Amino acid sequence: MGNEINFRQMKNIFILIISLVALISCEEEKLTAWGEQDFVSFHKTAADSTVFSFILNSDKQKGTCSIALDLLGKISDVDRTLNYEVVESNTTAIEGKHYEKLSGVVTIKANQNSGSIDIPVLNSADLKEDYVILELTIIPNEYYACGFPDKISNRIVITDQISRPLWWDLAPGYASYYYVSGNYYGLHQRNGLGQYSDKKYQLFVDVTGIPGLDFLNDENMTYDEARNYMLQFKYWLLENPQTEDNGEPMQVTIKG
Amino acid sequence: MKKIVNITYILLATVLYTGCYDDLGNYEYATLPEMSIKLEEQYTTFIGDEFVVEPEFSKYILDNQDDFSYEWLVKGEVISTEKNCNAIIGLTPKLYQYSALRITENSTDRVAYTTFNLQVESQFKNGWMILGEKDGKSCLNYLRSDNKYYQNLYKAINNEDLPGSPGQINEHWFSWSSLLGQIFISFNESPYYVELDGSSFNKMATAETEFVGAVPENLNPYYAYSVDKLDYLVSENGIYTRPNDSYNSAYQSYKYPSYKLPGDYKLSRKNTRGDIVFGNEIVAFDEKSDSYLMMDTRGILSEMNTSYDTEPVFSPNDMDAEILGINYAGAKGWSGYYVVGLVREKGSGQIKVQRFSLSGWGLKTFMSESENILPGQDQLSANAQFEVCRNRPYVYITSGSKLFRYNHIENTQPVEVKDFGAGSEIQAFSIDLSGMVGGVILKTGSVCDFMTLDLEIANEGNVLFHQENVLDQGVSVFYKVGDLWDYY
Repeated sequence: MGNEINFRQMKNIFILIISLVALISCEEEKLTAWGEQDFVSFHKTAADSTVFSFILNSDKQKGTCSIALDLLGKISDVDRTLNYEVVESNTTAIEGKHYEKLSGVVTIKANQNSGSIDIPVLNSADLKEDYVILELTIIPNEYYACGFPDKISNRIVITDQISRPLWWDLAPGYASYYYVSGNYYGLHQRNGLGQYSDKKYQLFVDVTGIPGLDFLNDENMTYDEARNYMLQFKYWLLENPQTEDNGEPMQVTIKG
Repeated sequence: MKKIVNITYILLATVLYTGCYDDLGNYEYATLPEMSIKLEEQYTTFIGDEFVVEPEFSKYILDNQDDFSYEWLVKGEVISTEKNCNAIIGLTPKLYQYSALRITENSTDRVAYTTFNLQVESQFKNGWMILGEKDGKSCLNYLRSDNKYYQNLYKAINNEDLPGSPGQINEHWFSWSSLLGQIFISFNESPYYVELDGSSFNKMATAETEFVGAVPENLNPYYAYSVDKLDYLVSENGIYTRPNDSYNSAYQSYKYPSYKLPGDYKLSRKNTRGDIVFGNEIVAFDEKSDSYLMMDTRGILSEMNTSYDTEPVFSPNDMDAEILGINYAGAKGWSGYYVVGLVREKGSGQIKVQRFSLSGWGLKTFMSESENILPGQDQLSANAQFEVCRNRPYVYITSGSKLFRYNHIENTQPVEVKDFGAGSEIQAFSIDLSGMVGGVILKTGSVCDFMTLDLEIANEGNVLFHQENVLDQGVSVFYKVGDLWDYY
């Protein structure tokens, strides 16, 4: 009998809790409707840095790093400005040394739903040994409010070093890569550019003149085109044999 | 609960009772002696053709034929209701379609039923392709396996002429593929080539559509082959490779690169694909090093692996010779095959017949088997042609108006098979898949005839088919196999 009473009590408490939760859920939250306010955010999240390497830039002293912006809201039929600023607390890049002074204003062209901030970046000797970070954030103004919270800031990594690109380890239809005995086995390891090395990547860029082969994500590059570059590099290596830093012959795995 | 048990008992009893039912029906339709029909076990027809069958009916049916209705069924679909089938087949190509003729005696409702298999084939699945020039234009003619002849078939299908100066034809498949092979046609001193669908002869691709970017400079393609996951395009200026989508059975899924395989080589037009189904090699001849070379699944051009050829009869490298003919000659064990090549030494001008084997489940190893000086070569003209038989020990040699048969195992004097007579010249000759039928383009005066010859020893040289005035100038004759698996 005692158990039955406890069960009924528990049931009532449970119903009460559910009812309270349901009531709370019914509280109306005022949302800003589309059209009342336009928003802007970076295309990438703050955690997804944009790497600018002078190694991959034809001009080894000065370059432009473009950071894409997405607009949410009505498309305007007139040019509108957007404000941004450097987040000093998270920035190690030095103005005048690693980047030119920024205006803090960018114009979003009429009838466009996207834009970009072009940052004039500068090379310096220390970038051979290290990288610096420049973090920007959007400042709301009369035209735009801040969009997605995780996309109101964006980081640019400036370097004169080469680093393993993400696309090197991608594998379509599988996990991003296999990791076996200390080696990555992505698409390139099996039938592409082969095992990664900074030296190989640098040579690939120098021979082909293109910085990336992200044909899985890049809508502007087909597999045929990517394979064409890989074969161009492979055939160049056949005629100009190279060695890796460990003395072994530099090889690529693409068949053909 | 009790109700459920009772219902279960009733259902069980019903099932058991029906199991005891004595079936008194008569299903021995076709064995009724007065209602018998005789048909072949299997018929073959082509898409778009009339399928005509005249069965042998028993006397009873013939005497009472107005009292019968007829249904010709292919996979349950009625294709004709006539006593003799006469239907246009619009089915998809398929082997062994279950078919039947069902007749019903209307006055008694008695039924007789006889089955057969119907094999529906692509219209152009296999047959002879006859390439040359007529009226100043390239011309591709076709003789189907049932001896139905098509003049200038390429133009009839594609509503355009082929470019001038045709080169050669070859057929290629993906490894293990069930697709009909594609037909590759090249042209002399031209970057142009065309790939034809093996079923319809529709133009599927040309050089303009096959490369990343522009057609490479100096492209002068000879032939195209596929090995496992890789297509090879062999051109006078080099080799181009691309992946092939054998998994989805789709030709032309990828494009050739704009870069050719580097190296100091120039491949001959003469070549052979290794074992078509199980092998993955193309055996080629390099005119710069005078060597047999191999292209395989790695996408490279490699020398023969002679590590197991401990007592070589001849070397496949640096032979100081030109290639005259080469072909797969037959299987060697489970994982190997023989190749016969004929070369002419550059110094002596002597023609040698070389027989070698390629073996191994993976990358093949080379073994020189024999090398003989071709007997009776003095009687051959300078432009003699050599066709090596598959699975028969013969090389057929054309010289002027004559056709010879040479046994490369016994190395005996070539036997004259046929002499078409003075004023005639064999312009092209090839052998079909069976090795028992040859195709000939014969020029007499200003016109070329096409004929097929019986190559069985007992009837060797007999003309099986003859079509006059098919070309002004013959270039190539080629037997299209169609189905890869017909090699086995």
